[in-house]
Formats: sequence, C-alpha cells, structure tokens
Amino acid sequence: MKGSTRKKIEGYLFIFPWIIGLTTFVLYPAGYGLVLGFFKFDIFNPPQWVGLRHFRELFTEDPNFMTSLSVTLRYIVFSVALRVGAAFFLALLLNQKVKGLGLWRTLFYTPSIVAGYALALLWNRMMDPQYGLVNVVLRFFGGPTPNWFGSETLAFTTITVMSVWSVGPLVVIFLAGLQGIPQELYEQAEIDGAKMRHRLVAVTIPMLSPVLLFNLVIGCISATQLFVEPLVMTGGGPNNATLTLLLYLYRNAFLYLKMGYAAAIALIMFLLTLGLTIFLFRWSRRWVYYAGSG
Amino acid sequence: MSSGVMAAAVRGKPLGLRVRRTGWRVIVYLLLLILVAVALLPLLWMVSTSLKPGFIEAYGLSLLPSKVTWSNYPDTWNRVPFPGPMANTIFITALALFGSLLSASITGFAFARLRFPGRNVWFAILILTMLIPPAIMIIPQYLLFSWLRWIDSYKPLIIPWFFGGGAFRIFLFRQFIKSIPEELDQAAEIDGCSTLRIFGQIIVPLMMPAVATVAVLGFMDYWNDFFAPFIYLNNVEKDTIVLRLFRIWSDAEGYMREELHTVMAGNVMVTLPGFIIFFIAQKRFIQGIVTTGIKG
Repeated sequence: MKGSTRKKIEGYLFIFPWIIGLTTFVLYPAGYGLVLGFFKFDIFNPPQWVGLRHFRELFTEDPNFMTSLSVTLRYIVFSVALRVGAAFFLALLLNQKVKGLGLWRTLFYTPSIVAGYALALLWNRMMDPQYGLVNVVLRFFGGPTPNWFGSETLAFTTITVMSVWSVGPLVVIFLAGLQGIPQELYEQAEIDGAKMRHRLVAVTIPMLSPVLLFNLVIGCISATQLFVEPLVMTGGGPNNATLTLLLYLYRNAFLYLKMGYAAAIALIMFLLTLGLTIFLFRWSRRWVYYAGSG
Repeated sequence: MSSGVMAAAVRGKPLGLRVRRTGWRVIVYLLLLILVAVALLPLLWMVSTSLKPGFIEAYGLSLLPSKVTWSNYPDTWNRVPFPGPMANTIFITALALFGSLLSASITGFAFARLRFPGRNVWFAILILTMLIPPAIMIIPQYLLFSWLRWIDSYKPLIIPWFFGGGAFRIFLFRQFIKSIPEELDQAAEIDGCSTLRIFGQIIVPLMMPAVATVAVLGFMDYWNDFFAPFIYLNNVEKDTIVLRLFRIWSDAEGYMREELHTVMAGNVMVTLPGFIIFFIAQKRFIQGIVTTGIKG
C-alpha cells in the first residue's frame, strides 16, 4: 500500500515539468489567444474590450485581410493537392519492387533537407528573372523569360509549384503505408483477374486511405502556416498576391503593434484549421477504410 | 530469355504478361530517373554555383564551374561573417536539443511505465495539444516572454524545451519505451532499484534508437528555425546563422546580395550540417518521420 502511494506520487513527479510547460507555454497562450482578438491592445496601454469590432473590420473594411484569406485558401487547396498527388505518385513508383529502393528513397528525400529560409532563398535565386537557372535555360533555348515574381498569377503559382519540391516526408509516409499492405490482397486480386488500375482502385487506395487522410490533414495544417517563402521570395507581393494570413498577422502584430487585431487574425486561422480538420475527417468517412473495422 | 520463358510457363503465367511487365519496369525506371534529375537539379545548381570563380560565370548556363573555386567558402565565411552567428546557432541547438531529449524521454517514460491516477486523461490532453494550430499561440507567447523580459535573449528559444520537450517527441518516446520488455524493470524493482535508477540504468541505454530519431529530427527543427529567432531576437550580435543570412541577403543596399556564388556558398554552409546528419542517421530519420508523421 505504502509502495503504491509512493508510485502514484512518483508518476506526477515525472510528468511535473511537462505539466508546467503545458500550462505555461501551451494552454495559457492558447486560451489567451482565443480571447485577445476581442481586445484592442498596442502593448503600451492595457487591453481594451472592443467586442466583435476587429472581426467586422477584417471582413468589411480590410481588403488586405480578405486578400490574405483568399491567398491562403488557394494555397492550401492547390499546394496540398499537388503535393499529396505528387507524393502518392512517387510512392507508387517506388513501390514497384524497384532495385535499390533505399537509394531512390534517399535521393527523393534529399531536397527536403533544405528547409525554411535556405529553401526560400534557393528558389528565390533559381527563379530570378536575370540569372536564375530557370530563365538562363529558357533564354538559351530562345524561350520566354518571364519575371516569375513579377505578376500576381505567376508569383502565386511559382510559390505553390515550388512547394512540391520538398515532398520527401509525404513520400516516406506513403511508402511506409504501401509496404504495409498485405501482399495476399494483390495476389487475390490478380487471381480474380483485376488489371493494374483495378488493383489500384480496389486494393491500394482503400488500404492506403488512412495514410492519405493523415497526409491531407498534416498538409493542410502546415499549408495554413506558410510564412518564410513569401517573406523571402516576394515580400507578400506583387500587389499582395502572395500575402498569406501568417505574414499579415506578423505585420499587424510586430510592425504595426496591433496585437489585438493580429490576434483576431490568429483566431480566424485557428477556426480555419479546425474547420478544415473537421471537414476532412467527416468527408473521409465516405472513403477511408480501416482494415478490421468492416 | 528462354529460361525466363520456361520459368514463366512453369509458374503458369502467360508470356504476354511477362513482356508487358518488362516494358512496365523500363517505364518505371525511366520515370524515376527523370524525376530524380528534376529533384536534384536545384541542389546541383546550388553547389556548382557556389564553386564558380565569379558572379559573371555564376549567372551563366554551365552547370560545371570553369575552375572549382573552393576559396568562395572561406571568403563567404569571413565576409558574412559566419563565426559569431554559427556559435549562437550551435549554442541554441545544443541546449534546446538537450532539454527536449531529457524532458520528453522522462515524460514519455512516465506515460509508458508509471501507473498514476489520471494518467489516461493527461495522455489524452497530450494528444490534443498536438492538434492546436501554432498561430493562435504566437502573440500570447510573445507577450508572455516580453513580460518575463526574455525578448532579445535565447531564453524563449531554449527554456520551454526543458518543460516537456514537445508533444510529438513525448509520444515517440512513450511508444518506444512501451516496446521494451517490462520484465526488465520489474526485476530491477524487486532488487530495490528506485524508479529514477530504473529509468537511468535500464530504460535509457535501451531507448537510444528513439533518442537518435528525436535528436536527428530535432536538430533539423532548431538549426533551420526562422520564425522564432526572427521574432524574439533583435540585436545583430545574437543572430542565428539563418537570421544573419536573411538580414544580409535581403538588404537592398547590401553589396553581397548580387554575388550569386557568395550567396550560394552561404546556403551550402548553412544546409551542410543537416545533410551530414541526414546521410549518417538516415535510417533513424526515415523511421522518425514514419512514426510521428512530422516534417523534418
């Protein structure tokens, strides 16, 4: 009895540092973040309750916010579709019992080691209209040499397409999922005379659907946080065509010191992520197949 | 070929199927080769540009430098200059990594092994915190750290990691420790070992694969982190290397930003530690990504 009491206390002693961190650095900021958007706060004066004013202002009087919302939504849709599609395709290729799988996987993962600022900088220079590799090659072949960050459509498209380059983690996750599919299922399908595309639809996609859902959720959450790429490559321009929600939040909070207003943007980002996650999980009920649950 | 046909016939597979398979394999390898070339081209360009003898050639088409100019590296190293920011980055990465390994492994151990009331509730909370979008916490965390007078110091980048070390990492340690046979600690307990000694002398030596996984993924996170140093550090003396490069290359007046070979040499030096660690600890790295699903 004595020993078990000690053990109970011991458990809490071991997780105590985590509980402190959880309350101080996670729960308190998250809770504060949920309400700060309803206050006007410039750091120097105490917060002042303004109710829904920030949200009204964001949606009716602030075209920059509406642009950043649209940019972020479009980026989520296009980049997640492109990245998940490309990763799925690559993983399928790698799963064709290729020789030297480990080496191929490493090669496809390598670009993803270049992360954050270094990644944004590399692509900024790759796409430079004068001396970037892409335009140098195009010029050599006498093709057009557009200013990739010059027009609204091009700048947005460039940043979106670029995100496919660091698709390594998604490939690795898909590949692990593919390798977990029991081989008997394919053999059975083959005996039943299923052609390759039938096997894809009848075996691979259903068996892989939980992994697909996982990659979609993670992809959407990370796409919502896009920041360093537009900051480095375009500064949010031209004409706000690459102004993401996080970039706009940063400007309001740290350049204009409108902390309450920025917190309102954060709350909208929070609701957006929450809404996307709930939507994906609900939608997935129609297509996710959990082996063993029917 | 004929033995292949024989084998196919013996296994009862029609010859046509086999030929089609060979064709299919050629297509697969061809596609893989093309895609690998596309994936690696920017990296090759980065490295080759960093070795070109001057910006005029750096702006050119050739993927091979006319003269491999290693001196671009010490040049860039001295002109940026790298030493201060590099030391800062190593300091932050080492401490944050140490804190998160220590804290996440102890917490993971408690969730895997110790029985205490409310454990499942705490574990559910842990899982839920993984789903909180970071955006909602940016401003309150900043306000908290500025109230603590931690702004323009490394404290916001280091101290929080000593208090939990990150939910994903706790989860990873918990999963790994659960897979270690419990008989080992039970035997030690009968011998009168305290829980802390069981952790230190039995679990820690056996959980090294998990330590390596978390360390490799964590290193990438801390080394490449841009947002937190960007927000919390103002004094140029305190720059991390990534932040220093950002300040220099984005300065419109900066004379170095147009020197493509210099810029790329800097980029290679910043990413090199990540590459070295990736190639050494690849297996752990890939495993970590599969287990936790987080990005490196």
